[in-house]
Amino acid sequence: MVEDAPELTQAELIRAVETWVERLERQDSFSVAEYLAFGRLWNTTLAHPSIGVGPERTRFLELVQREMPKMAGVLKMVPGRGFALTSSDYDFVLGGILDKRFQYRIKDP
Amino acid sequence: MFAPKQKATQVEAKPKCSCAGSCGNCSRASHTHRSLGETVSSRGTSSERPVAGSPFGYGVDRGGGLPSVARAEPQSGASFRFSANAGFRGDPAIGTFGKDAGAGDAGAPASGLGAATPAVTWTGLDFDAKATYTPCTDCKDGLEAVQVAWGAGGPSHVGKAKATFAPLLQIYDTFVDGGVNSPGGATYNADHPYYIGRSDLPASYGYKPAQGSAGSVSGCTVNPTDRPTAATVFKEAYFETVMVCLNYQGTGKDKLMNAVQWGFTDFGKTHRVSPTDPATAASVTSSPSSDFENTLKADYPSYSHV
Repeated sequence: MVEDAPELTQAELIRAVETWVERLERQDSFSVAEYLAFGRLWNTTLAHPSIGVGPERTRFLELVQREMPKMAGVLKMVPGRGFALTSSDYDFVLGGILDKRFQYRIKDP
Repeated sequence: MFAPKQKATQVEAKPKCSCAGSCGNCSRASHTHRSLGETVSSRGTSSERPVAGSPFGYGVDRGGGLPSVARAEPQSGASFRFSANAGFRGDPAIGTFGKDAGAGDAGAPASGLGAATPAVTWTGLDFDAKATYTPCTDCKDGLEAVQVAWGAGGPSHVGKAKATFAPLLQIYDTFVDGGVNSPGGATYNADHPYYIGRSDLPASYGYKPAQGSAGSVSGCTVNPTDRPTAATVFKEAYFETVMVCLNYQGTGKDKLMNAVQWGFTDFGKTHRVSPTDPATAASVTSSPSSDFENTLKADYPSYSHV
């Protein structure tokens, strides 16, 4: 249910992007929950291009893209609609049509 | 190695942390959550950080294209805009209308279908094409899009059909994206190979709402979008997105209009228009390529268009 999607304010989204950039640049290893968290943030960031426009956003998109092959292995993702990485095991789609179910809900759009 | 199977309901609870999981503690059953407002960065502010040169090509600039042009060219190294650099790609003898037959040509009789040149924004994996055909009264059921994908060098095969791009020997898996042989399932039933997904179409189209909408259609504007993240696990992935006039002049057949070709090599890192065209800017043509037609025919042998 879209209504059940986790919520973030715009400010929280921007700060989360900054924090994830830091972690992704350190090339941490990530848990399943963390892959899902920054994957969901990646979807949200692309779906809301006007929020947090700047180099951090750009860097975040790049860093997550770099992680995608590893994420695909961990989350057992295969191509789905729109050639998007899709995990039936974890009910998650990265990219593609940017289904709202796989985004954060912006509390103050 | 794959992680042990885990139910979505278990992991979906964790991102409810207001930090979007970035604190690193959200996987704990219970933890003292440091609010995002308290997060202290050891680095400078966002504006102080340089934009690293990146093969991924994400940019801040999401500007659309300029009209009356046909190829998106890279600008500032990261995002892409159109410039006047047309070039018809593909075989003009193949397809339903030749390169000179596009609606709206100079001297053409007035019709209920105007000409358009899709404006393409293609940044990193983020693709957006938008075209307005005014008028579009010839399209009795409005507009749609059909997207064909080709992939090679991936972890698994996708689709049912195969294709080659002569003179190259590489064999590609190919399918109508959002079609009957698409790995994500069909967006519509029967002979409706459309990509976007419109809940307002007549019931006979058989739209499956659970498939969602890959872009939008509003009046005479069609706007297919995509972020093909699986391109990062395929050595090569190419796409051709074609704008469609549904039920052209009430004939019951569709008219295929402009095509946009785009794609990736090197596991999503490098833009490339097609196996045979190394251009890094999207290519816009007045009609689909023969390669597109072949895949469409393979997946939808009964689908016909004018």
